[in-house]
Amino acid sequence: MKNRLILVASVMVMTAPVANTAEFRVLDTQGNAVANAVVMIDGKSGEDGHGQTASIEQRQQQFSPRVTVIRQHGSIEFPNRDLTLHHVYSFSEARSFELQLYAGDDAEPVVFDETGIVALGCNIHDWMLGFIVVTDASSFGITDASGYVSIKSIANDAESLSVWHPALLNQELTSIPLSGLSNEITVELSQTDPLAFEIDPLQSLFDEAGE
Amino acid sequence: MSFRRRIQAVLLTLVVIVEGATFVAVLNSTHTQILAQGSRQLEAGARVLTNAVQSRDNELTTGVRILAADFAFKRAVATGDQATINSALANHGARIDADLALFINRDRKVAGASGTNASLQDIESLTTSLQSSTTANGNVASAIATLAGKPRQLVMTPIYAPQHIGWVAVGFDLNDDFAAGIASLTNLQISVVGKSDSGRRILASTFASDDRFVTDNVKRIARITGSPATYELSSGSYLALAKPYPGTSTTNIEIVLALPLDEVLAAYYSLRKKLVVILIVALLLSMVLARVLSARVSRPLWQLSKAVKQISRGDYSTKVNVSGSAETTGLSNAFNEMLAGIADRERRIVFQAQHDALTGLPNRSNMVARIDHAITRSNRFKRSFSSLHLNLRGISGISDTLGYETGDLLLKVISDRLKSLTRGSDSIGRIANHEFMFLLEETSVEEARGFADRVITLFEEEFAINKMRLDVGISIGLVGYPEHCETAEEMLRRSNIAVKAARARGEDTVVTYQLGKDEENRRRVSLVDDLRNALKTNALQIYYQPKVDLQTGQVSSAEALLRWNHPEHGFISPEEFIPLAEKSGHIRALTEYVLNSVLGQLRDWKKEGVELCAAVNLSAHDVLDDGLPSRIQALLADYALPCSALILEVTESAVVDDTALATQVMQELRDIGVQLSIDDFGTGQASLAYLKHLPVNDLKIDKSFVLNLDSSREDAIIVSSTIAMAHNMGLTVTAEGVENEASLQLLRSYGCNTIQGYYISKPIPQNEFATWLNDWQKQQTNSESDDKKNKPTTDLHKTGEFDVAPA
Repeated sequence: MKNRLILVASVMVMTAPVANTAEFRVLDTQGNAVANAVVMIDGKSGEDGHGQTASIEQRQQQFSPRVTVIRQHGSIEFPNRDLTLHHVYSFSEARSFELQLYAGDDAEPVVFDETGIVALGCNIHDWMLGFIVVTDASSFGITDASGYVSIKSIANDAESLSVWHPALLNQELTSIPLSGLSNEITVELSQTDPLAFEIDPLQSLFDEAGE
Repeated sequence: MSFRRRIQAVLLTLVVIVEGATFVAVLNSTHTQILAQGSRQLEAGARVLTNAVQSRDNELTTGVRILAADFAFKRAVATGDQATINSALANHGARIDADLALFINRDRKVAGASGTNASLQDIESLTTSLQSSTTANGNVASAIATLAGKPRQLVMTPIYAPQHIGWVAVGFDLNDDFAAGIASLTNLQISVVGKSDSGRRILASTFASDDRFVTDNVKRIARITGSPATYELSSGSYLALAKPYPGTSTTNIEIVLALPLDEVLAAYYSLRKKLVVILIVALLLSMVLARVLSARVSRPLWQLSKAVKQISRGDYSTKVNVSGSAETTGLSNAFNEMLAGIADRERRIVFQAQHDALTGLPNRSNMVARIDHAITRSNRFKRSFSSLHLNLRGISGISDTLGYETGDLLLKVISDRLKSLTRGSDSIGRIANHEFMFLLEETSVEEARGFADRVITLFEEEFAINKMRLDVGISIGLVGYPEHCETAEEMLRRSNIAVKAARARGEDTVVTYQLGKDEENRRRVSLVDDLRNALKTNALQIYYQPKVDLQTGQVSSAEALLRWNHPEHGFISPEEFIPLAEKSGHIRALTEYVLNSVLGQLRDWKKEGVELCAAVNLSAHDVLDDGLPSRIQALLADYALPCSALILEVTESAVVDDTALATQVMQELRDIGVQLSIDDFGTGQASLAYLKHLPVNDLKIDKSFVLNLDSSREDAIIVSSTIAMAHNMGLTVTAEGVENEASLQLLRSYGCNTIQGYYISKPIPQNEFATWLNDWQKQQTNSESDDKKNKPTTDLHKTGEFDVAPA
């Protein structure tokens, strides 16, 4: 499977020398907007994740947000906002861990020292799926529902960009050189989007009760 | 084939057919039933198999899903550690009794295996085909496959942790235990056959592995899927069915279900044996029964047929008595009735054959039989018996006048009256239309004569019929045994002769048979026959007696006289045979014969220069034959003779019957030119009145007047006056019977024209006549010269036989 990026020429706007901001839009090959796509731009940021903590909630039997990006060495806490117990786990190479979180529990934040993609699941609720992208990129962002993402603090020496999405056909991060890159990035997605799911009606009972 | 055998055969055939049909039908249907049942069992087994496999499938599917969802398993597999993965596979596989467990990663590479040492390539190709399999039960794919030589059922499902990290596949061996499990469920023998490019292979079986069925037939059966069929094996017969392993898309695996038939058919065989025994027993019973039945049916028939044979021989005393069924009894009774009827009818027929219908008296043949019996009795007891032959006179006239019913009634009354006369052992029979016969036992001729007189007396009284008084005349002929006859036939014939004689005598007379009359009769009868033959063979001879003219002394004519020399009886007088000829209708032939002979002779003599006339006697019959003149004329012409050469002599009595006709014929004869002469004048019944009208030339005085002419005064007067009368009437006279010279001289003195008699000559045979004539003529010339010596020579006087002219 080859990865083919079709580049569309566009204008790159450079603003202040210290903090560059760029807007990108990610589309799939059919021209549909791709949400929750992680766009990472390399370069020296001078930051790492130490001390940064993100939060992924378990809410209504689903991870929220679905896709999270953190810097390497950052940590994530997993507050359980549901009434049920969640047994969050990941067997990803980047970080494998298990957290048995009772309702309302906040466990200790988990530190992610390795870069990579971490897939989150719940042993009790098989459909719960979330992704953590641990990156050493200098700047990054996640596309919104319309596929737009605005990335701030782009390093001056940023040279390449990479995009990741759970449904990406090629899960290997591929660097795309920045120069000449338009801000519409088309990616090829696989047919099935792991992020698309339907909650079991039985389970939704618990949500209502919980809410 | 006899009736009895036929009944037996029919019965037995029937029994055999029925039994045979039953046997075949029952066994066939039972066999078919059993096989059908076996087939159904096989089909059921196949459905059970399908169901079991399905269940197992479901179990496996569930099992593998649960395995795939197991967190610990997920965790173990996700670590990526080969050893951990393998042990986790083994452990968790064992939990669900899997014989084999595999982990295939996202790259479709085998990342862990347990329970097999198959090559990775095999596994990978297998799992690839699994994944492409469309029989996904949810997200579980299953297939039957052979790995490392072992047939297994594989189920595979993806593992999500939480993302798809690979697949787990577990396998369950299809081995003998599997087969045994199915076998115990279905009560059939099971074999699992794997099909591959190299052929078929038994994968699992409940049969013993060294059974040939397993190696040969299973493979064969497996090719034939669909309907159950029977196969023979070393271990017995089986009803087998092959089906593809259910639920798989691949057709590599087949299941063979087999039902051992022996135990199933055991009941059938036992039934068959029992049936055979029953049938044999039934057949034997039937044979016995058939024999008995046929005998019972045929025996009455035999008895009847025996009785019929006896009856056909005339023994009507046989009565049939066959018992048994109502039918045979009925038949026997009917038969006896028929028999009685036949006997009765035969009696009646015999009676009718032996008795006269009108009077009920014995008939002629019956009387003959009775006479025979009487003869036998008479011989034994030395007692004579007699018969009276009764001839009734006048019945025909009464019938003609008063009708046949009256005639019949009269006869009945007469027969009753006659019956009343019989005593004890006497018989009376009606032997002809108006003739009866009494058979008087132990009665002599004299006694019979007295009886006959009583019968005559009986008939003196008139008979009262229908208020009329009828008179019947009777003639009786009496014959006695053993005086008058020796056999019944003789008795009847002679009684007939006697009664005819009685009839001739007049009414109410009795004549006793005279010995010899029968012989006379018979002689007469045979003579008639002989006469006919004699005519044909010219055995009758003509003799000629010369007639001499008294004036000239010359022979003017000769009377032709028939002479018959019978080979047996000797000389038969014309007085005897001419009346016979007249009565038997031969007279015309006789006359023809005589005429032909005489005329022929005249012609011959004429050729020799002898001119003579011949006189031929005509009978009464001849003179009444109106064709005679023309025939004589024709004959005379044939022989070329003048009619005057023929003289016909007719007696007086011949004319009496029908004078008119006789006169006419004689006139015709005269007209032709033939001469006629009245013969035997003076003795007949004709009166002188006839003489006036009869056209004759000549008159012949009967010899009775001439024989004693010289010694009887009365004769002399008669003769002389007759001659005178005849001359006065213009007739010439011939005197016959001249015996001596004296008579001759007297006749000459009376003026008689011609004389004939022994004095001249007795009748001479025709072939000697010419010689005699010659001698006579010589004699005459000598006599003329010796006039005084009027001495007759010995030549002229020939004594011996009487010359009797026909009457």
